[in-house]
Amino acid sequence: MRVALFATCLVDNLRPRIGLASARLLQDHGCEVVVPPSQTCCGQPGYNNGDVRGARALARKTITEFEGFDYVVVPSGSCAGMIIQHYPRLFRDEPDWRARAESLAARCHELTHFLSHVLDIRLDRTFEGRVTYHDSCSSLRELGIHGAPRTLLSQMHGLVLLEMKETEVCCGFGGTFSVKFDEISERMASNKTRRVRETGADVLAAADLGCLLNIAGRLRREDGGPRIFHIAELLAGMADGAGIGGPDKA
Amino acid sequence: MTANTHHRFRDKAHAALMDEPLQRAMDKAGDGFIARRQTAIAALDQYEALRSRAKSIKEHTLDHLPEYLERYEAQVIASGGQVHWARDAEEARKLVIDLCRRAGAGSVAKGKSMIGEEIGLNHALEAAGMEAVETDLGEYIIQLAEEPPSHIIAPALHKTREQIIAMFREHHRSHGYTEPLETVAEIVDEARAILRDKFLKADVGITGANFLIAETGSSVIVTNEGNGDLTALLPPTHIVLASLDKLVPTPEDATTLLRLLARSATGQESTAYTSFFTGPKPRNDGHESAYHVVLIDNSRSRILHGKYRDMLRCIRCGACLNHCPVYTNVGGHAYGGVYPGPMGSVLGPLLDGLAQAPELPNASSFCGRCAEVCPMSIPLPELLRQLRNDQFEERITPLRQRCATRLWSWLNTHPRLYRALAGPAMALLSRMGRNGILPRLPGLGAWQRGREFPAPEGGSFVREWNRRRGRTRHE
Amino acid sequence: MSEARREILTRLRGESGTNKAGVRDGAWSSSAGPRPRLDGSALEVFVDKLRQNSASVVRVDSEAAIIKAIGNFLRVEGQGQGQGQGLVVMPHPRLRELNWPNDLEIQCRAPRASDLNVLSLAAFGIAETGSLVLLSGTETPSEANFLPENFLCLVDRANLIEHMEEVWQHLRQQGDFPACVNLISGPSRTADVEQTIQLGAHGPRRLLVVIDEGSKNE
Repeated sequence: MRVALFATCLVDNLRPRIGLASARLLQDHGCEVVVPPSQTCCGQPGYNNGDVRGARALARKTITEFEGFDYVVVPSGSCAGMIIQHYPRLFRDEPDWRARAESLAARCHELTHFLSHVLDIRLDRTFEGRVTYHDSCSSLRELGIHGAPRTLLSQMHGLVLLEMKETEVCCGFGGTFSVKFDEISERMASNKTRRVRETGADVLAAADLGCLLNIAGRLRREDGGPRIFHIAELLAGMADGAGIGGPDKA
Repeated sequence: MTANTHHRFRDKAHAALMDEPLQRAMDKAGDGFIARRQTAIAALDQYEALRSRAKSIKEHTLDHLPEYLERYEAQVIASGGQVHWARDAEEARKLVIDLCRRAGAGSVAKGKSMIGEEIGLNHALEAAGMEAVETDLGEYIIQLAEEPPSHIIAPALHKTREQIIAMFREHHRSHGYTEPLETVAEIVDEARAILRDKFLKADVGITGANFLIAETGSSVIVTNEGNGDLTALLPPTHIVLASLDKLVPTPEDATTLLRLLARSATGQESTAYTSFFTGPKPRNDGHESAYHVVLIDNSRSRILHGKYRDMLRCIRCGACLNHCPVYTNVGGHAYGGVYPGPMGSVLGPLLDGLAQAPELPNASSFCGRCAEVCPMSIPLPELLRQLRNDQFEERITPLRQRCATRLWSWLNTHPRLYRALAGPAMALLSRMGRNGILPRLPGLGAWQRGREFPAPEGGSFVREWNRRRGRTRHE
Repeated sequence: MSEARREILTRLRGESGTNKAGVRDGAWSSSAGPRPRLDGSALEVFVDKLRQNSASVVRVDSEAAIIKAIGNFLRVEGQGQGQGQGLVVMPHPRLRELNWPNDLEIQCRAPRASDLNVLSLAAFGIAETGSLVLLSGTETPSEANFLPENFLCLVDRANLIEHMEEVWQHLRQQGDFPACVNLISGPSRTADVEQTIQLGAHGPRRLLVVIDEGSKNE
């Protein structure tokens, strides 16, 4: 099957290896992976900041780029949520575009959901370590994803999954919220890092780079904490360096 | 409400985060509401069916609001009461003051009423020379503190026991209470004694309404303290304040909503008291009390016909506040208006004007928990996003931010230019990284105040992947 | 009527004008929504819920047992400072005509603010929420439910119902909605000080519910 990977602008620019890890996971399980070269941002920043017209323009661009694939996979709950939940809403009053948006939404999956529910993969990799998993709000509430990442992590040999308290509470990222209301965002991040530390895990994983940058940024300011990886890095056997924001740059 | 109170959310949030007693009080309140609601909802058979029914009840009523209001009014009159209509807050205040004057009121007992807060009734009554006493313990506490409520169902949530004791000592001295207080029981007993006296002396009792029932002309209030009932029953005149959106067609409809209200609010299956008042009440002296209803529009009719109609389904349970990570960290006062939290961030701008509350729609990380727990299925994040869109279109959003947002969208629709800029930028930032994090940079000021920014890895996934594919294909 | 009324109704009608189609007029009772299933019989659930909400509940099967249950409660809880263990009984025949013993100080009259112990009669008991339903009237005045320190209430088992909807059906058939319908699910409480639950905020500190399972007559 032909699967298009929508890397997301954060992954593309800040941590390309998440894209690589995602592609590797898909290829390992029989997908022909295509990365449309003109892809950029899904339009969420504009959408959430009042610029609906700008968001619509980017949605049209993304819809066009990702037509003709069996599936579109996104290593981010937030960007997948934008495409699946919000693109159709953006074209409420434009039937043609609405149909195209709905077609994309129907083919689009967040990475862990795709691996677990569509490919139904069984991993045969080892990761020795205690891992705690952070649910992004978009994954959890916009897409209803809770079991998939846990199922995948628990397939890894040697991996111990430790649940933190309040996994359903936001880490405080929220896109531009993190800078517009930086103090509140920071407090929310501190609450989250406390929960992360309480688990005693050596690794924090999540499926959204936005959350990970935020939590990593706070942990580093607090001077330490577990290593941090996108779940794709863990699952693809690429979680070997210092992790996101880690002291020796991977 | 004065016009400017919504401004400076950021500043007030800052003060709130630094306010230790407030943070202690919020911490104490925190998990209790969430855990209790969770338990109550889990134990409720047919929650989703009730939720969907509740939504359709309100939608049906809103579809036929004038017809049901006319029926409601006719029933109140048939039961011997009177209905008064107020277009806005000022008209409502005048009506209430006029009714109180006609009742010869020197003292007014008040049950908890958010519409009363919304129209600024207490100050108006006092300016008219009447004593207005809040009888809900939480409302009484904040009345002594001269503060607005910080939560729609737990108005004194932000106060610690020590603060309450200090206030009671200061204010109750004149009533002859000087004994030191320590326990919650002692605090409650002292308030009970003082307020019992106020109930008995009051000439008018004013309550809000959780629901109005069209079929019977009843008003419904739910309380745990019983203060609302004493307020309604003891004084010779009972005035009910209600906004138009409180209406439901039948007692059965109210019953459906009641099944959700207490569980969503406090996690109770039902509050201690749920009361249906219909017309004048028989009194011990053989006379009947007077019964008035003041129906208040105050922007509801405008909201009904616009993009924010969903908000009129709100039953003021407070679940969105309790589950909001912004609210639970900064408390209600930071929001500046009558209604805090997610529902307040929608309602505030709608009532007071978007330009008067520019920060509120933005004070959300869109985590979505509010919509998830809302018993009335109000899509709060969608409404907040719509308000942000209105701000953008009406140029209330600051120019710099609008330009930045537009520029981002524009740049991303030009992939070649985007890559030409992003590539070198990421390469530079990657080189600037030390120990995996970026040094302080001017553009990252807000982020870096309390957090590090992880350094980019360098390179672009999309470009490199396709470059490699290109090569493989040529080979 | 007033200009405000006219204007508000006009605003609400907007461009669509009157929309009577679908208005539930005359078919009010068809509006009942989903009713949560009860875990047990109405009696069991009613008792459980009331106890969960800090009420004392006694089940009896004779008039003598009613008197005894009330006497026991008053001996333990019914003595206030400077007040005897007297009981103010609401002037409902069902209560008045109980065979009150001489050693119990009984007054049959309307309630006063200073009354310590007041007994009234519930028209129904709702199992779903463990709620007493008190209807206002000269025989069971509503003040009685809220003024005393101790509120005692008799309810006949025959009047236990599963859900609140049955009250509305009953009142609709009767054709009269009383001025006050009070649903009472426990003693008065507040959590306004540090979210700590404290009983006896403004209304009764204690609630005794006597369920008469056998002696119902009339």
